Amino acid sequence: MNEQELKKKANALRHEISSQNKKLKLIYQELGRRSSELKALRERRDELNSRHKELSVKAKGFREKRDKLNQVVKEVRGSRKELIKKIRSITTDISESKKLRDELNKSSKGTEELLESALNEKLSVLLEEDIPLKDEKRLYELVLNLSERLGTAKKASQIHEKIVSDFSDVKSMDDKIDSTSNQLKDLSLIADEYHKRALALYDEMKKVRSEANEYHKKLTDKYKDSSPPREQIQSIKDEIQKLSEELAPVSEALEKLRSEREDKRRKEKAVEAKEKLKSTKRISLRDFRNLLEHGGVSLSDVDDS
Amino acid sequence: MNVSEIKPEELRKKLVAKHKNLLKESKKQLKDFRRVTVLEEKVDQLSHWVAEQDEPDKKLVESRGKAADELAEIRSRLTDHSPKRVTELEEKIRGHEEALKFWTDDERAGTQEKG
Repeated sequence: MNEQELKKKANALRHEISSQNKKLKLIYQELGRRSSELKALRERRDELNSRHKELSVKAKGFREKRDKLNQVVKEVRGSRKELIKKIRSITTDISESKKLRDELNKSSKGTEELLESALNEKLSVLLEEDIPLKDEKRLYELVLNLSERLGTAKKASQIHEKIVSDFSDVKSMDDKIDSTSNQLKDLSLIADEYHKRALALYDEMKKVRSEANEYHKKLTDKYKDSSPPREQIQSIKDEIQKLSEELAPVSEALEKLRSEREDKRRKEKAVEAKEKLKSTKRISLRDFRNLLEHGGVSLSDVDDS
Repeated sequence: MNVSEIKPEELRKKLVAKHKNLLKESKKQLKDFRRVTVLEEKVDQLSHWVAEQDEPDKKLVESRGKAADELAEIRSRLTDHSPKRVTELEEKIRGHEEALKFWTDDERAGTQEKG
């Protein structure tokens, strides 16, 4: 091939290489853009996952608080049930005691004070005074009867005190039940509140999870879209490599031609400069250098002349 | 004794103790009364013998003195000196003995309780 043909071929190859490089640049730009998009999608997905985790911890906290309170409610209810059972038992006892007390009062036919006073008086007469036997026998029976009745009256009194004490206990327990019922109401309200908060968080978590999944899908889809450009890049690089390899010998040949031409020109110039030096003895520095390189002249020759 | 829980046997024991005490007292009083009668007679007799003698026997006088002192002492203890008191005391003694018999008789006391 001649120089013109070589030049034409080299230009065509260079043009093609440039075109391929431009393509490559565009692809890199596209990849860069996609990389930014992927980064944004990944960050958003990770942010949503992090939020989901945070919500999960909070929801767990509310759930645990609710469960603890429910346990307390269960225990308090149990205590209240026991109290109610106890009240019923004591109330039954009170009812039976009242019956017994009333029977004893009916049987004693008098108050403790009156009976004791009468008994002491009769006993004093019986044991201290000298009275006929028939009166003694009568008083003896009377004293025993009064004593029995007094015992009955004392027993009725004791039972009455027990009834009063039991009533007091029942009242205390009733008050305790009222207080417990109020406590249960409050605890249940709070437990319910915790439960609602947990549910609200679970709803939010569901939404966040759904959104995170959407972003994840977009991310995976985008990754798939990125692979063709990468394949293209390799193909273009291969093509550039091939063109470069094709261009190399052409460039070498052109360079050789150019170098030969330049050498010839310099040699011609040197001859001209030599002739000029012979005639005028004045040449330019450039011509002088050229002469030194290509004209077969040394500095010693110049000094001599 | 717990007045609200008086047991029949407990009450009977106290009645027995009461009557024993009263019986002892009545017997002592009756003994005193009888002793008064004896001493009055003794003092009277000794006084008669002392009056008969021109020079009273020392022993007789002394004996009369002792009897008179004892009589005075017993009389000071007795509240009622009347003769009917003896009858009363004898009746009392009989009454107390009867009561004692009654209250110490377990069989009868048991019947009394059941009755």
